[in-house]
Amino acid sequence: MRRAAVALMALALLGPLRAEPLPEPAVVEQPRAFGYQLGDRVHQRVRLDTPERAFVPGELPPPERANVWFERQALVIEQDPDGRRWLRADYQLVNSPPRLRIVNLPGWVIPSADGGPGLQVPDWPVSAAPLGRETAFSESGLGELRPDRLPAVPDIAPLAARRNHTLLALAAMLAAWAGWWAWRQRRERDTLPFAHAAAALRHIAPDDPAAWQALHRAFDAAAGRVIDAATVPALFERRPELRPLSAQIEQFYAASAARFFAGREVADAPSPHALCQALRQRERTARG
Amino acid sequence: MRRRHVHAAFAIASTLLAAFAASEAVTLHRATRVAAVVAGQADAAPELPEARLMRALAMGEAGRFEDALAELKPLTRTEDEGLRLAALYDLGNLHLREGTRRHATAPEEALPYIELAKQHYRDVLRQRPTDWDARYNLERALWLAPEEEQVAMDAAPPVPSERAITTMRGGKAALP
Amino acid sequence: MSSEEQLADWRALALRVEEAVGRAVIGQAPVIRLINVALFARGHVLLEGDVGVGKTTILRAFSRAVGGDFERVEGTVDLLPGDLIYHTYVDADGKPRIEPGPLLRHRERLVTFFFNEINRARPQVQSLLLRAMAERSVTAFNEEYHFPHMTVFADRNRVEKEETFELASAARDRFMFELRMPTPTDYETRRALVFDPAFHDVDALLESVGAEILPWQELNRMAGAIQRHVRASEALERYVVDLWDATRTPARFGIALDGVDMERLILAGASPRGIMALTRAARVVAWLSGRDHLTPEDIRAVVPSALGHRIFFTPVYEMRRAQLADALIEQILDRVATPR
Repeated sequence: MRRAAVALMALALLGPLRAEPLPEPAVVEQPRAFGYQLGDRVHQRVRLDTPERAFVPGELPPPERANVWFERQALVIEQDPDGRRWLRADYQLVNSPPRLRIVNLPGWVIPSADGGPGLQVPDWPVSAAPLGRETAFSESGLGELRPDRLPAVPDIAPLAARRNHTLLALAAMLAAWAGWWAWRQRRERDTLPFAHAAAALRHIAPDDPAAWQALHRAFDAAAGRVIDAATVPALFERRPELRPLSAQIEQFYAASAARFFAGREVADAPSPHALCQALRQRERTARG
Repeated sequence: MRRRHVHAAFAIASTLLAAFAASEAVTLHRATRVAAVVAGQADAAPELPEARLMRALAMGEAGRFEDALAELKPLTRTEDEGLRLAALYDLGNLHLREGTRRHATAPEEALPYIELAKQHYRDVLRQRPTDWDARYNLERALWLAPEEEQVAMDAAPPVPSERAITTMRGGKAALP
Repeated sequence: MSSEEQLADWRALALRVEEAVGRAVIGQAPVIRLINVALFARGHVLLEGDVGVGKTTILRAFSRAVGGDFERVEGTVDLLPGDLIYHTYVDADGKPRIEPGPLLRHRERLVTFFFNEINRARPQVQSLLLRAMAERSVTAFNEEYHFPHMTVFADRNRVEKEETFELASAARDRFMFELRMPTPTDYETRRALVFDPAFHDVDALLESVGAEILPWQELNRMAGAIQRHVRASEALERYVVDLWDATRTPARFGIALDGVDMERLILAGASPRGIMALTRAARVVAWLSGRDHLTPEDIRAVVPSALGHRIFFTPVYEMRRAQLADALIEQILDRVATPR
């Protein structure tokens, strides 16, 4: 709450010209004039732009004790919604009168940057009162001194709750990740022939005929028809992504034919496991 | 392509959550130790500034003014605002008590302590004007060492330094 | 001379026969290969094809290359079984004479017997022929006539439906292959057929085919040697049995045809005789490729010809046999997996 008071001072007499121009009266928004106590902050606003003049303040004084009662803490230039500039002065009551009395918010002159007349801010009397009596009553709170201050005890519970929630969220995220991964693996096994074969091959030794047969079934499934050495091109037509492995695939079919139909083992037969992994990789890359 | 993106998204989300959890765990750990320190187990975490404050208070109570002062001084520059203001306020209390104690025996020695106490309280109020304990104790200090307007001030400009206008009303003790 | 070397020699001869026939009959390489296979598997062949695609020419070319005698009979409604066996006429002296008919005339020298338009002949005639095919002998004039080297080629006229007697399913089953002889489709072959004078004079054309490339009397022995020579692995046996099952219960192999109730499609799958014929033929294919073991490719090479006419559909679907049989065989080959 601030009551605006406009102090207007008419220059009644124009004295003879002096080297130092006389300060002009300022339009000041004064603070409430009553009911202050030790430690209270008081704000005063001085209008800088007047219809006659756009006042540019010169060097402003640093924060300092303005008088025995008040300390001036900040001087800030601000703009109101109408675009007018104000100099806001923040004071703090740093002294306590022994009884209720009138104390002055000290008047001062705002210097002008261009050497022109400064702005005169008048004294502003306000009422201030002590917080207590000179003699302390008792220890009931109006004692000799307020007690020492301990470090703030942080509230453990909400911190613990937050950490637990985050850990829970992290666990959920990891579970979702694992779940998604498992679901994806499973779907691949169901829909991607070589993923399916790879899963089956995990339990089959490489020299077991079942391993070869499993890979044959994967080729058949991938091509949508039975593939043999002569029809491998049909596989590539349907699955062009496997074409880079054509050498290994043909080698596999040759070795498989030798093994299953000619009854001889091929010495450097390709491992169905290795080939299956390579095929699976291509199949996955092609599917995204 | 899409699979790699999903993995990356999960990895980023998990890493972020893990980082959050870690930082929260650190905060919680510190808070637990601070609570222990404040509860009286000063040796639970002697390196903490909170422990320093607790030590200083114990020293002040034991009458070791200089030691307490040495512990509190560095805390007035700490980042933690609550702790900094507490240290300033406790410095004020430390000085005010010392001043009061000396006032009884050698009033002329008491004044500098009381003045320092006021300075510390005012430091607190400058940063947190609503600190009622600081206000109250500052007023107690002012009862002991009031600051009055100089009677013979004929339109003299305000004196910039508070110390220059400090006067001491002799023999006025606020002792029980 | 070891049997291995003999087989290799015979293989060279077989390939020469194929090559010689191929020079006289262009654009029919698959048919020539399969006729050659049937020849060495000692199976009979049912030919099917449009009029004038060169069925007679191809058979005469084979006959010339293989050696032995060639006989040709035209199937007609009024043909009687006896007409195949004897021939009555009045000789120059006015005396009635009876002489052996086309089947008996050549005795053991009969190697290629071509029955044209067999579905115009009455069932009695057909059954006589089937017996002759199965036993390669006929009893006549109180005497057993043997023609152990005979291979029967029968042609079915697909154009006319009137006054025809469709071959019974059991009759079809006696033929190792049913071969479809298509009209050549590629431009170069058709151009040569029409404009190259070499193909206009059939007799001169046949002259160009080397005569009696094979010692045809040895055919049966060599066929047996080939069958013993080419091995079938366990996996291959399994494949053949699977194929057999697929002709009986195609639905079990995931075979489906558009607009067909697969449960009700098959009346009877391939017969044991049919599957035997299939493997016999496949062994010859393997031998012709210079292998001593069967592969699925050998089987596939003969499945359409060996099994297509051996699957019997329920009456509802029998009308669409030509279309369904092809699709079914294709599906069987696409679905039956090996090695398993």
